[in-house]
Amino acid sequence: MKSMLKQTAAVLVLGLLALGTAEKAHAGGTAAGTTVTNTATLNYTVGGVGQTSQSNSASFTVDRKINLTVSHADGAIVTINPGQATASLKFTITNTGNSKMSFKLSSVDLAASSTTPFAAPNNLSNKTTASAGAYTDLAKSSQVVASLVPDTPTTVYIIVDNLPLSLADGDILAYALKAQAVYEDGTTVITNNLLDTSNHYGATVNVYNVLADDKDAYNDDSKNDGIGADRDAFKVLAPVLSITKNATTISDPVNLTTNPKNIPGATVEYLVTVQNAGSIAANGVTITDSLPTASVTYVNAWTSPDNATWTAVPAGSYVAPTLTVIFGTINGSGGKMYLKYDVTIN
Amino acid sequence: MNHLSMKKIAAALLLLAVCATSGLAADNSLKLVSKAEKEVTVTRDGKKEAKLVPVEKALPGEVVLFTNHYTNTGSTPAEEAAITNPVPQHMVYVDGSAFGAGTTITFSVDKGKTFDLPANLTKTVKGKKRPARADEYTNIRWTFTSPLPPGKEGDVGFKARLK
Repeated sequence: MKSMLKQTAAVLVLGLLALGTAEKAHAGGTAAGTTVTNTATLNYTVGGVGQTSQSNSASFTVDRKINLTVSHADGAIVTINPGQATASLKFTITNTGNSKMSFKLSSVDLAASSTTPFAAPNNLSNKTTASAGAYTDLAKSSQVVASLVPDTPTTVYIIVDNLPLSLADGDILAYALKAQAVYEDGTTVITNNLLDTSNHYGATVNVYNVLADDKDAYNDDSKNDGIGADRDAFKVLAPVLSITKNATTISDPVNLTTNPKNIPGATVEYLVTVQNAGSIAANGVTITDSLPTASVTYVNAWTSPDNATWTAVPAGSYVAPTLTVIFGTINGSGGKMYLKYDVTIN
Repeated sequence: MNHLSMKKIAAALLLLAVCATSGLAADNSLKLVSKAEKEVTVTRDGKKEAKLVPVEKALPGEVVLFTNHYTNTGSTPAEEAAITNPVPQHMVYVDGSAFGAGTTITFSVDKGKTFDLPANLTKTVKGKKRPARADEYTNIRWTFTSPLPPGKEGDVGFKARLK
């Protein structure tokens, strides 16, 4: 009994494997317009003499099954930066019907509460100024995938140009791509269960158009509407810089360094702290500090202590009344740089 | 021998002659009509019921019922009757779907060269023999277990899925 069970299991696995292979080879199915014919033969004898009767041909025509899959092809959320010139979301469209089919593309700029494969809910405060469009193969002239052959995936993109500088760190910009089955002209929408009497897509006989698609995971389209859809999203990565300035009196002419007071002639040390709380490094950071020269005098060369986050030694100069220091890059996620200098009170 | 018995013998001879004639000539007294149907669900009086309709629309993946209706329109029994039906091109036989009262149903996996019961059918792939799967059947044969008397009619059939 035990061995029999084992055998059954082995056969089942084999059957499944083979079935999987067979279905893959014919995912789109028998081509629309194909005639399927059935004829049976009856053999018999009467008085020992062989006779044959042939049946009529029972036949029917295979209709046009219209189906597609649209799926995001980015493995992770696509990161962008404020002010980026152009960015794209990648999708794959596959014709899973049994006839060539053209698909008209459109993109939907999704609302702030939308769910995406990567992030939910969204934080979409500033994205409305970005312009979005769906294009095939980054060629901005075309928004139709023309006469797509069954089972051959094609890649399309939603391209967003001129990302605004106002995008904030962590913002999610979510879009849905929709692809709708149309005739070869790229515009005529195909109606469900209507007979195609104009022999579209190379059909040689009249076939019914049957919209066999399901709704997508986010309800961006409906069942049997000839539309496939999926979502994808951008995530904004931006530095978030903060600057603080502290003054400490370190000596005065009377008390020297013991409990010094801010009297004329006293030395005051300024500490400027620049912190980047954002997700990514800030590049080209320059500090300019304009001194109130009527009341203070810049005394000694500036220093930049705690250089743990430096990627280059800061460079700077003092041209009265302004001290300019080029920090260069400050790393994200809490990277800090300091600027220290002394003044005397006039 | 009286007149009456002579008449009887003549009638019997005549009948014999008719039999012989019908046996020798291809009279096609067995008629075979094939039809393709599919099952649709209709709502009648608020109840859903399955109904067979001629195949007007057919999409890949759909199951079609093929029925062969036979009638012995002749006046003599048909012996050793068997109906063979290749699984139509673009279609795959649905396992266990063949039916036919009073017949032994056998299948072929070699385009009709040989027929056998499902349990005996094998397929050799890359030198390895394994049981044949229903989707590999190429032909179906219904062998009638007894002669079909005049006037006898019935259905044999099977289901197949459109690839």
